[in-house]
Formats: sequence, C-alpha cells, structure tokens
Amino acid sequence: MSDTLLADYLADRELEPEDADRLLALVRADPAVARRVKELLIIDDLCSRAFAVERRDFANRALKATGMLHSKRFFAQRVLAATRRGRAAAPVPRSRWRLLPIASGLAAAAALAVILLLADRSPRDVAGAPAVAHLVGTAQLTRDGSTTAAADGAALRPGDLIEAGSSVGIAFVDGSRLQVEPDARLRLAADLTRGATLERGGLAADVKPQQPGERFEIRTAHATVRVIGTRFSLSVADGATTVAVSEGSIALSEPDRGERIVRASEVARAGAARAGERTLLLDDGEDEGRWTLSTNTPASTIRRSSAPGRIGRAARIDFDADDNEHPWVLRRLDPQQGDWRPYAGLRLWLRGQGTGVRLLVEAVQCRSGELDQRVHFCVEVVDDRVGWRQLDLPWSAFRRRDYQPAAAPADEPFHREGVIVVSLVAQGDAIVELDQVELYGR
Amino acid sequence: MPSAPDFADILHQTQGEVRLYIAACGVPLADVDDIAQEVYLDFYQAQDKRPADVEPIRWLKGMARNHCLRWFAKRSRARNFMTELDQALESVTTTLEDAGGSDELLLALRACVQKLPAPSRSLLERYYGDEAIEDRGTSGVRMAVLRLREALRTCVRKQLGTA
Repeated sequence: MSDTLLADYLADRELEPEDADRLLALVRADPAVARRVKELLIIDDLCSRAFAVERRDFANRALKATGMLHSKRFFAQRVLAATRRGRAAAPVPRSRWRLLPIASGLAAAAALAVILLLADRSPRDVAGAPAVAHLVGTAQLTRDGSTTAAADGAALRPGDLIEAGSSVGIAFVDGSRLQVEPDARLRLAADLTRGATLERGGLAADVKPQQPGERFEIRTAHATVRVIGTRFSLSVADGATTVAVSEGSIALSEPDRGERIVRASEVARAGAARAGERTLLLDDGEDEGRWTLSTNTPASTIRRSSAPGRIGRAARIDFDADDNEHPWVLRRLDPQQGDWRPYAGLRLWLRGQGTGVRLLVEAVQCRSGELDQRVHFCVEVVDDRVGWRQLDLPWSAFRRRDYQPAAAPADEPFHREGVIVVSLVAQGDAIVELDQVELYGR
Repeated sequence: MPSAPDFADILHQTQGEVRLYIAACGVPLADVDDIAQEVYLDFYQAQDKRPADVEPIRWLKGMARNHCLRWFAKRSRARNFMTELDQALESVTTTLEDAGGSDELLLALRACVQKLPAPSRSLLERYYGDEAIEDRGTSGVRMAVLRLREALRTCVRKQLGTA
C-alpha cells in the first residue's frame, strides 16, 4: 500500500476521487490493510488528545452543554407556567385592544420558551454534579487515605489530594480552572464547593466570576487568596507565596498583615522571602504579535504563534537557525516602561524543549535615543530541560555582548537607562515559549 | 431522564472510548469532539429509552455510529467515500480496540511519545497542538508524521502486550 496515499488520507480524511477509489479497493481486498488504517486512525486521535490542550476538557464541556439543556428546559417550563397563570389571573379586559400587548408578550414568552427548549445548547452550569471538579490529565490522587493513579477525566471530590508528575488541569463545574505545575501538591477544599490549598509548587488560575454568597479561595501556608473572578498564577517556593494577577483582581490576606487587593499586572508576595517586593509586567504573552521576528539571512527562518502559557497564553517562537547566523525576537516596550533603574533584574517564564541550544536573553540599552548607538547586554541560558521554568536574571548577571552596532559607545556600562528592548537570540534550532516577562525587585 | 450524577458518571467512564470510536470511523479530528458532544446530548435526553440490559457504552456507540453516518452524508452528497470506507473498516476489529479502555491507550501512547527523540516529539506537538489542528502540513510533514504514527502504533501494541 502506498504510504503517500495513507499519509494524505490521514491528514484530512479526504482524497481526490481516483485516490479514494484506490484506498477503498485496498481496504476491501485485504483485512490487514483495513486493520492498519483503523489503528492509525486510533493513534491519530490519541496523539491529538495528548497534544491538543483544548481537547482535554471534553467531559467538562459536555457536562456544561447538558447542564444548559437542563436549565433552559427548567426556564422554559417556568415561562410556560407563568404564561398559563397570567391567563388565569388576568382581569376581564374592558377593551379588546388592552389585551393585545399582554397577549403579544405572552406569545413572545411562549415562543422564546419553545425556541430555548429546541435550539439552545450553549454551555452553562450543571445542576447537581456529583463532584466539584474533574481532572484534565493524569495525577496521583489521594482520597480517604488511599492513593491511586487517577486517569484523565477522573471526578474530584472535596478533600482530594492531587500530586502531579506533569502539569495537570483541575476543571471545576462552574468553568473555573486551575492548571497545576509539575511536582505541585494541591488539596481540594473539604468545606467549600470551590477552592483548594496549594501545599507545594505553583498553579495558574482562571476563575469564573463568583455569585453573591459564593466564594473561591486558594490557601497556602502563608496566605489566602480570595477570588472574585480573575486570572492569576500562584506559587509556593522558598518559604513564600507569590501571586501574579493578569486580569481582574484578588484579595490577598496574610495572618499578620490583613487583607490587601492585588490588581491586574501586579505581583504580590506573602511570607518571608521577597516580602514587599514590587514588579513591573513588561509582557503577558497574550499577543505574540508584539514580538518582532528578525533574521539577517534567508537561510535562517523564524516563526511565532500562540500557545497555552503560564497564565493565559504564551508567545511561542520557532527558531530555525543557520550555522552562521542567529535569528532573534525582540519586544519593543512602551516609553513609560523605559526606566529600569529602580529594579533589581529581569524575570521571565521560559518553556524549553531540552534541545541544548544556547539562548541569549538581551536587554538593549539606548541612552541617546539613537538606535545605531544602542548597546547590547545579555545573559546566556541553555535550553537544557523540557517544560516551564522561571528565570531570575539580576542586572549583575548581564554582560556586554560580543556583537554590537558599529556606532555603539565602546565602554558604556549597563545603567538601565533608556532601555527599550528585550530580545531573545537563538544560537541553534529551538522552539521556546515566553510568558510573564517582568522587572522585579523594586 | 437520568439524574445529573448518573449521567456525569457515565460520561466520565465512557467519553474516551466514545471519542475513539468516532475517530476510528474516519471523522476528521477537528470534528470528533463536536460529534461526541451531540451523542451525549442525545443520550442525556433519551436515557430512559435504553433497555436495562444494554450497557451504556453499547448504546452510546450505536448513537455515535448514527451520528457519524449522518455527518458523512451531509459532507458529500455526490459520492460518499467516507461512508464506504467506514463500512469497510467496520467489518474488522483491531488489537488496539481489544486492548482495553481508552485511558490505558492514552497512557501507553504518552509513555511511547516520551521515548521518541526530542525533534520527533517537537514535530508531533506542532502537528497536533491547539494552533495546528487545521493545518495538516506539506507532503514531507505528512510522511514524517505517518512514520511517527507507525512507530507509536508498534510501541503502544507492545506496551499493551498485543504486538
């Protein structure tokens, strides 16, 4: 059997008529060929479910869709009942014309009820779901003192302890979602319908707006984060809790400091380390188009796309580098982000693939405002592991790069004045993702 | 009408297998989950019609097959290659189908993916990732991905002891 024919069919399940006839004839003539095609279709679907994050939440989406069906049916029944009650209780009209608006309203309500019953299947909550959340991915699950390997889609109940070897999602029935980092340890709240205690590691949260009287809290050893409806990341490390808010706001309370509000683009820390530190978010990864692709020769290519990030999305950069030329991406910053003097360094999240390729994280200083007089400072990082890691790059680690423009001042030190660009240079083929680029340590 | 907890339990127990069944009928990946969702919506509304002695998964697969055939019919009115191929594939059973639940298959596949060299894993990630599901690549990429699928198929069968 022609592998090209099979490869083309598996790509999009369609073929030109002549090729379709050939494939059908082969499959009909030989059961071994049919089995091979069927097994490759199965492998194809498994690969898609393993790599496409959006497919991992299927069970929850289906539950929401049926919940919508349920709640719309209930609403429609109430509208129809109200329609019947309205007819029964209506006073005898003195004029036929006075009845017209009421009749029109009732007819519209009844029509709406029928339409809702028949047509609308968009997502909403499920009433009476048996669990508070479901697992997206696989993890060790401890319940009632017994630990088991929980499969993708496993129902999670209050008090469950989740320990993930790799990143795993917790999808709550209201649509809120926690993405838990590898090696983190999270216990679902025993006394809340939604919420958890992060005992170790980090997570990213996307929490739906809470109704009055409801609460969604995430606790750590150092603080409690009360969520109203927002997106943020949370990590426990080095004796401290760090929360970075990307959208909305949260209330952070510590036993000895009371409660404070942390808003979008702000980072707050609780606990001993980094207490009181302030940061400035330079790039949140949500729009990869803000990263400019650059290469000097056609032999090197570079592409950008969007990928699931630490919080929301991340900018994904695919470097295909020629041996003699290193492509780079750069992020121009707003003028008000140009004064970096009060900060201690640059921090960013980088997701690598363990290629061993050397990457240069650059800060480009341009004190005069003339771009050809810019000076490149950099820190070298090796893509030596698979997955996300946070890089803390203090200014003291930045060195003047070998490459400089011809007009660059020869001995200009790194003052962090007028800095307007952050860039990443790849000295080989690599695919990296960038998220939450920020200044820290003010 | 089933209570929500009953339905949710059935959904979580069967969704992997149902989605795999739909994919094995030849439905494009981008449409598998949409069809599966329609199947569960129908199941939710028609649960009381299921005979007591019929397992939910058998009932669900029957509904899934009907949905697939309707989808194929809508896709091409003139000549339905997809329907004919589905009928040809329906008559054979595979060792992967016999190997057990979808969760075991997915775990085995993930273990096999970890054994691939980094560039191969990277290619699969780009091919199957969220951003690439509509773009099935050039003929070179298609052939490379076919070879990787074959390697994974062999590896999964070994993992499950069916090779």
